[in-house]
Amino acid sequence: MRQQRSYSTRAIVLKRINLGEADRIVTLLTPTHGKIQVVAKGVRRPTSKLAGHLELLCHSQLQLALGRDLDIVTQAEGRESFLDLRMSQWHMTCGFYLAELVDRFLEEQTQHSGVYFLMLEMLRALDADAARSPQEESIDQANDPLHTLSQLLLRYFEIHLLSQVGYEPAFRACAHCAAELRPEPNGFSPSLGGALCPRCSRFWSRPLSVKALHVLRVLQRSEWQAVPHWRLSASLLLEIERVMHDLLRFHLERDLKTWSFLEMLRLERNLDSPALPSAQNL
Amino acid sequence: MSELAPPVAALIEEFSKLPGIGIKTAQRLTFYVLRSPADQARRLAEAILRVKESIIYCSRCFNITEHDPCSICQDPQRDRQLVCVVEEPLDVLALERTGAYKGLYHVLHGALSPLEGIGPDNLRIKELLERVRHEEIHEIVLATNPNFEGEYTANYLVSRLRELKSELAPRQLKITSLARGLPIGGDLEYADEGTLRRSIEGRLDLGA
Ligand SMILES: [Zn+2]
Ligand SMILES: [Zn+2]
Repeated sequence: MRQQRSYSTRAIVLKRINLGEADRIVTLLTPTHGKIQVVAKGVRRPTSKLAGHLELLCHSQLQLALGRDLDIVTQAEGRESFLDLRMSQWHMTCGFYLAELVDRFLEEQTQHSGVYFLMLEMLRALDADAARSPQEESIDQANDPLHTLSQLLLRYFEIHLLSQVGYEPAFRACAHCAAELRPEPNGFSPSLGGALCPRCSRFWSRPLSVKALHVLRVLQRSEWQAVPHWRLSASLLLEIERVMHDLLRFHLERDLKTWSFLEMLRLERNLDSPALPSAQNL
Repeated sequence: MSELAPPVAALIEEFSKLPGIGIKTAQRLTFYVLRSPADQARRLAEAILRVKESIIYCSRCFNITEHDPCSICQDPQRDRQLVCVVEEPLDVLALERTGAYKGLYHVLHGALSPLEGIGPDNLRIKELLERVRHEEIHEIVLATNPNFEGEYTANYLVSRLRELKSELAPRQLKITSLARGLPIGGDLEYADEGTLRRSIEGRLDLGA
């Protein structure tokens, strides 16, 4: 397809693996080539001109030369480095998680411009959220110890990533009989791909609360900018997370590595946070 | 590969398992060994064995050593109130070459990496926290690599060390990190946003 010896692309860095003395194999998410692996030479030396632009989650403009196996980065210019995100353990972990999800769900060299733009939007939102968040030392006084907005952002990303790769979760109609779901206690089944009406829930699945279904539906049908800044209870956030993680686990047939890190940070936080208020505004 | 004598093929295979060695380099190394005098080959083999048999980890700082505790931990000239946390033994070597650091070390043996599933329990983090509890340490210098995983590890350590502070009172614990800045010999115009931002934040007072 490609005739020329080199090409230029924007890219988000998803993963880096050390290669040889000072090189790295870098996994990129690009708008037109999808997920690709490329070689970045000498990037582990402090004097490398490429290194800072090929850090994890950086959004950069790259020049690539066609290589025998993998293409080679010849120039890199940073567009966005998301530096605020890198000041916070929690937001860095969220960033790792987005990268891991994309890496797991995307085949190499299949165009997924929707995923690229979704990832970019989420990174910008995470970075902005990190910039607004108080420094970790004053977390006890923080008015959002649960990181509600960034947790919703992870759920938003999961829902829309699944849709982009053809596994749109069913939150509007019953995943089994297609009856429209109503605001009543429903059920949920990962293997059927979403929520179930009360009648079908008798045979499968776990309960799905009215509030959880409502949040999932809003996340699914909204632009990110239009998602309300709810204050949700810890238990509701956890219920929504379990639903999405069960769906992801069903499709991937395994857990994601970053989950245990998100869990670790949450446990540390919950240990010293006071009794949590119950759901508000919902 | 089928025409090679089995011992030659075996050595090529072993060399190619080493980090940074591809099959071509493994072949070159093998034929170099084949051509070199027998006692040189024996010295190489013995050096490899000796490393495995005599090198252990220092039970205090987890640097590699022949004697426990290591020579740095035993050196009475060293400042025991100062501990520099690094990812790998090679980082100790690099800092020692500068001759500018007089404190002790703590080697984590890696960095946290969610993508590779490397968590706190896979590193010598618990041991570091124990040292901070029981030794008269007044300053921890975080010297993890200036990349995403290194910063992630440093962020994690900062929050764990902060939790310890109340336990240590009245002893004060200062947490510092290596300065981030422009590499000597580099051009400002090629510097990335992250390096530049930290260089500006960490700008030096020239006292003029
Ligand atoms: Zn149904
Ligand atoms: Zn030692």
